[in-house]
Order: sequence, then structure tokens, then C-alpha cells
Amino acid sequence: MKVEILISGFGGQGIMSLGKFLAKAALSEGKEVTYFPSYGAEMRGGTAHCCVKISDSPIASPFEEHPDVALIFNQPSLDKFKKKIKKDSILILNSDLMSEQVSINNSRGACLSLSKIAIDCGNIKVANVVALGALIALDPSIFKKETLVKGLKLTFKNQNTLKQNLLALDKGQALLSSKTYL
Amino acid sequence: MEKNKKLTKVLMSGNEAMGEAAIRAGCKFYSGYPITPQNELTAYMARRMREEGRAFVQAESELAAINMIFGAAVTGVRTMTSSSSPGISLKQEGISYLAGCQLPAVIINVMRGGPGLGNIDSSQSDYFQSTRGGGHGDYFTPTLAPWSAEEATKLVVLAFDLADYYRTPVLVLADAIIGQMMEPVGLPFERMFKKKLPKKTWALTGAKKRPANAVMSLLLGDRVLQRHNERLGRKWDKIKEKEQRFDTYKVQDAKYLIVAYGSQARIAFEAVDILRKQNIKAGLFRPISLWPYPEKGLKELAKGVKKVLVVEQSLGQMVEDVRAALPLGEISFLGKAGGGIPLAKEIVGAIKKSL
Repeated sequence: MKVEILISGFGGQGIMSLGKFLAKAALSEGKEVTYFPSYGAEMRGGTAHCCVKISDSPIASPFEEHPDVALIFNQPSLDKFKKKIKKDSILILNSDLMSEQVSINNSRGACLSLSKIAIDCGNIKVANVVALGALIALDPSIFKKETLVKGLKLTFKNQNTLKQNLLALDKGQALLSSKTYL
Repeated sequence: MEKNKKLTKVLMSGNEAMGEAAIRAGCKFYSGYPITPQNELTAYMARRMREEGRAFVQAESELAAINMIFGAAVTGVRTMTSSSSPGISLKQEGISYLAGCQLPAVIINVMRGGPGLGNIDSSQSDYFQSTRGGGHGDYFTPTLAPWSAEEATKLVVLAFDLADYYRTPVLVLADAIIGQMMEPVGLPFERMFKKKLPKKTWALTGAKKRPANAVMSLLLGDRVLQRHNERLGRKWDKIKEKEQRFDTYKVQDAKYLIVAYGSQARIAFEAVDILRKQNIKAGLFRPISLWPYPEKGLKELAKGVKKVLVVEQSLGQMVEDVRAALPLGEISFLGKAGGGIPLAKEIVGAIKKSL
């Protein structure tokens, strides 16, 4: 097993937090993992991104090359990484922050109202976890749901924040029975 | 150091891991000035040193930081500073003084692109500066280059031991990728250096009931400095003899040897696996000590090898040490500077072109 996950969006959307969260989740399942962030010279309105690699064997290069999973939270991120995303990559887009009609032909893609659903969960900041829910619906083999739930419980001490995140995970997962595929 | 405890893995960035390693190695004083891509190290020390009841100073400049390290080292405590390339240039005067005064200290350089302020991308362009002394005067600094967050912890601990054993400043030369990347790190950290460390009888600890010690780098008088430099020279020779370190991957039957260090060695590692799948007998030689350069190991290994490819995130610096070690070897070079990183497929291409 070897998975490369690219996460990209605006600074403040929980891009790095989600990357680190997934890296820790993978480590807790005994996997090899690397997390590599963009750092420093990012600007307001631009993109922040990170790459998480998970494998059963040691990981050499930590860079994104051709992600197997791309979680894209805004238009500039899609513009930046469009070319790197493979046809058979899992692609989850945040339709709320896309300025154009998206036309990528991914066999396993979903364009979802991540921000709006997050607001429904009580906190726009949980849009990243909505995407994670959608990811486990599209491919249950990368993360076990119970690992993620356990991770969220370890991450959030505040019961209300935890509740919002658990709800976001469930809603994201449930979405893909009734959502707009690309 | 902690011993015989079960190893647990935690997720840490190289920067954080190096900070924790310094604390566990008994670093009592840290001083630094912020610069990307090593800020997490300074931030980590700001928090953890205080928790441990030790001293942390965010200095007003790199010059101040390195001279505070001088002040701490002279009292005999373990001390460390860290920075990135432009900041390390500023610290070179102080490093020269530390070497001249034979003071143990650890300096971490998380390299970024240069020259000048350059950029914040990963680079290996401080190889010359690190392995040729760096500042003025006839000296060297032992230089250790980690290729993972976990190895960075071991090398920081080793750097403190080498510094105390040889009474000299030691560099840990990481790069932006090693500093920024998070990966599992085993705790507690392993100690590689097995020799007994000498007592610091030279330290300035107050001269009550003993003759006063003096530590100075200005040595006037007839041939005083010459004799001092000759003593230092014997020390450099001893370090060259005893402290060469390297690692290898799939070299037993290798016909094509890739030489790379730090983060670039990880990418070369990947290239070796790709080449092996195509039945091309490639192997990796990974220097861990850049000074002293592991020339003995390289010479031995190169005996059965047809061609050597040196890969660096620079326009070609370490390649000169490889050429010096293998004067008759067929050596080619692949490098990118200013934040460029030679990719695995490019390394594979360079090897196949030379078939």
C-alpha cells in the first residue's frame, strides 16, 4: 500500500491541520508516513498546501508528484495542481469556492458544497473534515473510520468542537449517496 | 541519556526533533534568531527550554546569538544555536572564534537557497562553507548531514558528544526538506558515540582553590599562534582518521554508484529502487559526515563500480570531494541550484544515459 495525498486551499481552511491529523492517524495504524507542508512565503488569497504520503514500507521522497488523493478547497489550488492530478486520482473539490464550472474527468471525483455543509455542522472550519468523510466514502481502504474518530477525540478537548467535527465526518461520508459527481 | 526503554514513535518535524534531541543531550543554553526554514526549531526551544528550567534567548541578531553561544561554551555547559544559510554566514566569525578557542558547541544549519538572501526552498549550496571551515583561519568544523527527522536526532546527540570530545564546534547540516518534513521519530534517542568524554578542566567556572584558566583566540608572541595551529592541525588529522561516517544501500553488486546526502539521498534511494526494477545494478553511497568526508569508505566501495553519479541540490560542491577521493573514477554530476531538486526520474535518466 502506498498513497500520496495532496491537500490544498486558502490559509485558514485547516489544510495543514488536516495533513498533520492524517499523518498521525496513519502513524497510529503503524504505517510509515511523511508530511511535507508549504511553508513561509505563502500570501493572502493564495494557496497553502501539504503532502502526506502513507506506505507499508519506508518512504523516500516526501514531495507531491502525482497524488492518488487530492482534496482541493479553493479555485487557486485547483489551478495550481490541475496538471498533477491523475485521471484515476480521487479528487474532492469544494464547489463553494470554485469560480468556474469545473471540468475534470476523474473517474473518482466529487464536487461538494464543503463550506455550506460545514456551516450546517455549526462551524465553517470543519469543511476539511467534511472532505475527509467524503474520502472514506469514496475509498474506505486508506483510513479506517474508527481511527479517524479516535483521532478527532484526541485532538479536540472541547466537546462542542468535537461534536461539530464528528458530525462533519458523518455528513461528508453520507453525502456521496446523494451528491453531484463530476 | 535514557536507556533500555521501549522505543515509541512520535510524529515530529526535523526542526522539532533536532530541538528535542538537543534538550535530551543536555543542552543548557540556546540562543538564536528567527529565519525560515528553521523557525520551528527556535520556537520549539523557546517553549521546551523554559519547561526544563534552562536558558533560551532570542537574540537581537545572529552575531549576538553566536557570541552568546561562545559565552555559554566557555563556562563548560552544553550549548547550541541554529539558523539557515544567510544567518549561518553571519555566524561564521563566531564559529571561527569557537574553533580557535577550542570551545565545544553545536550549530545547526537548515539550508535554504542562496547566494544572498536567496529563497526559502531546500538547497545544499552551503557544502563548501560547512566543510572548508567557513570563517577565517585554519580550521574545520565536523559536519553531520541527516537524511531523516529520526537520524537528525541521533546526529544532534552525536554532535554534542563530538564537540565535547574534541573540544570544537560541530555543525549539523540539514536542509529545508529535513527541517520542515514531519515523520515518525523514535524516542528515546539513540546515542552513537561510545567513548568516555573528558572533564572540562579548561572551563571558566571560577578559580577558587585552583589556578585561573584563560580562553583566548588572540595569540601574539613568537610562534605562539603557529604552535597553536599545529596543535589544531593534529586534532583535525585525528578527526579525519576516526570520524568518517557513511551509509549504503544495495551496493554489494553495484556497477553504478549514486552519491548523495541529506534529503537528496532519499530521492536517490528511490532512484536506486527504480533502476533495480529495470535490472540496472545501481547502489547508493550516502555520506553522513561531510567533514571529514568518508573517503575511505567511498574508495573501498568504488573498486567494483563502473560509474559514479553525484547528485546534489547545488551546482556541484560535494562532487569535488568525490573527485578527490576517486581521481581515476568516471564521475558525472547531476545538480540543481536555487531550490531546484533533482527528481528520481532525472537520476534514473542520468544513469541510463551513461550505460
